[in-house]
Amino acid sequence: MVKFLVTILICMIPASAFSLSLTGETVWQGEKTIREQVRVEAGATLRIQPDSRIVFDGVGLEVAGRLVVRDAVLTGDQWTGITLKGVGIDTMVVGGEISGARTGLTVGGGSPRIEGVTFRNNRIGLELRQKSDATVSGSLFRDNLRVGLFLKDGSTAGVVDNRFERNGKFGVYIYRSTPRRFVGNIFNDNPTGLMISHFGSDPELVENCLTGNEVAVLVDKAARPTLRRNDIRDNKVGLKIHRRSDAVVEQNRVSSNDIGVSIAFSSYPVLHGNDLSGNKAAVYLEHQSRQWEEQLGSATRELEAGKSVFGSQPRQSVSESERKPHQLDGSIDATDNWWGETALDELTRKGADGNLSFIDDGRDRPVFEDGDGSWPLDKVRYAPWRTSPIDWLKE
Amino acid sequence: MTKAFCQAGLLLLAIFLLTGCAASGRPQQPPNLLGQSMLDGKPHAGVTISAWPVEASRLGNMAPFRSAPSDDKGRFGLVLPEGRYYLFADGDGVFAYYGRNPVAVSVSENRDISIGLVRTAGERPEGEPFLNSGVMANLSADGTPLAGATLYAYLDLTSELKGMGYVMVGPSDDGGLVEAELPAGTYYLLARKRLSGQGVGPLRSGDFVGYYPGNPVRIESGKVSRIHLPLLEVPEKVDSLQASLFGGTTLQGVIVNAAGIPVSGARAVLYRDAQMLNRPLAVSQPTAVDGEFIISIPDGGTYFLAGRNTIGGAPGPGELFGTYDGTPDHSLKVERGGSLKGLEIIVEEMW
Repeated sequence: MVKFLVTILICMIPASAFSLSLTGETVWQGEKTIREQVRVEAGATLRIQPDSRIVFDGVGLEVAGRLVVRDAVLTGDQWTGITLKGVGIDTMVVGGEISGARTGLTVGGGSPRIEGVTFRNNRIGLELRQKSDATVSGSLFRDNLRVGLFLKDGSTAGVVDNRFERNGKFGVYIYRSTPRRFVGNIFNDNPTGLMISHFGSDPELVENCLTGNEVAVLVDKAARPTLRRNDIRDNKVGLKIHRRSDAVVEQNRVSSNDIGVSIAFSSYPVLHGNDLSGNKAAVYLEHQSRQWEEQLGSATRELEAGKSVFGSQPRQSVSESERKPHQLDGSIDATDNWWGETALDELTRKGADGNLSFIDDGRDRPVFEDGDGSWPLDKVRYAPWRTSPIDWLKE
Repeated sequence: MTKAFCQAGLLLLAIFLLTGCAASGRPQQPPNLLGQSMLDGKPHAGVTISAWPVEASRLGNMAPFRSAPSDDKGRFGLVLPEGRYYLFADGDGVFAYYGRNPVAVSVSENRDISIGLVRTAGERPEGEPFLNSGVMANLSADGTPLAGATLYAYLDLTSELKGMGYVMVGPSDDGGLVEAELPAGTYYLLARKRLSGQGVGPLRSGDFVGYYPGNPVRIESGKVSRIHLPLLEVPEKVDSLQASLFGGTTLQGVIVNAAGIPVSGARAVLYRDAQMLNRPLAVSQPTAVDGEFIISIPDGGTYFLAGRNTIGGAPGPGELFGTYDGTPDHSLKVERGGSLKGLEIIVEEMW
């Protein structure tokens, strides 16, 4: 106890430097500038008290023990950020702000709790890696230069009720990860709100709200997420499904976007039970052809890998047999959706295989050019369709 | 000067007598591979150095080239045809797998190396394994369990016992224990511990490496082999000898970002093929704030050069990557023993 009090007293004195290694119990309180890299050793605890303001002068904080931060500001100019290494559920960062870092908070493994934190003006706000099972809730990710929240390397984090605004490239980037829960998040004014990329990214994304983004949701490179009951409105593109990505899109509201769902490069999502009304183009196909996929798909992907991928492939890398579409009939399954009142008239007039004004597919552009050949563009299979708006309370 | 010259001459003569004459009874050329065997930082006598050509299909049993035992200053010498070799050392209760294997040896210039030895004695794992077939290994360094290390199992020598291998398991627990599920077969087992926490990439000073002295190991179906695998810390000089460590041909340059500002923490990676898909031929140490890199390789030829800030697998989003763009196909040519300077690699974030 005496040792603990002494530690507090020492830390309350304004200081310009800390020892490199913290053991035992340490408390930081008040305004401080840290000029040396600090490490909290395994078994040790660092507490940063409410209303503290810690400025890191180009260095960072590494935690192998336990960190408890409440309502504190952790900031600096291009500082390294905080790294949590395999910490337990008793490590928590609650409230306050982390700003100005290359990566505000990096979580390598472990299961810390991050609640109500503002991540602002970092290159990357929060990065979860090495199968981290962290829980991130109620936090704000704003004006981070690249990414607000980055999940990678098999992270199984829970991501609930956060807000992502004005981040430089992506609000959230899910890379080879499947978060255990991804619910109730709000995305606004990002170039890409939510990116789900690469084989092995199969999250279920539920009841998120994405408005005012350039692209609300981008699914890329053989990712296979499921989107249910999300509200995707007033974006330039609601859903962009690219490069062999077979998303399941059910019971979402994808409306009032310039393009509701853009599908390209041999992607075969399933769109069922959605409200696709009010988009300038509800579904738009591009470079999407059963014939092209059958004849050139595998070879092109191999070539693309050669151009863009260097170094030996990880052993768990996706095989072509896993990446190939299982069923190819030249159509996209978009049956049982509500297309809007105006669209309903047109559907009734033109029937099950008409060229609809709100679907841009092989009926509008029969072929596209690629290499030396031209290839038939796939069509959207939209019948049967719903004849009344979706009652979300009953769905 | 004269005194130093005489000392060097006497040393060469001693090694010549120690190795060449002892082996065949007839005069031979002076050794072109010289060195010193060290244990706990001190010279160790009575150690025999073995060399296997890199073209060998398998290691084990009697090596085609063996030195006479090292003298009381730990010195040894070996006459080797030009080529690349796996070097081993063994003595009474000690063993070494030279950490920078395979080593390029020239007939025109002597190579002087230091081989760090480990003690082979150690406890094998006890207790019930959590696997049906494979290996349980106790990993140790300086006689104490080594936690956080990774065990690698290689099927053969095609990767020169580098990279991820057939199986890569870890980290070892606080007792140094690690288990690998392996089907019946023959394996080469190595262990490494990188302070960076990465599973692949060149070793740096302070990392650990170990080769199981009983390699290759035969795993029987449904059985678990229990082994002790000692590791040795990589010495500091690996960082300072990049210009000559792997051969007399060097490539030097700088890694910069799109604005021309030097990038720290990046590595130059060299490949034999334009696709740059397979394991690199050579990887530099990470750049410092000046962005400068140097790679040494044994042979001249046409190579393909890139830069990146991570090792292993494809560059992920947000990671730095770029190719040498001095030629349209990113290739460069260098003569054997030559030096290319002023190479520039521009890296950018991959998104």
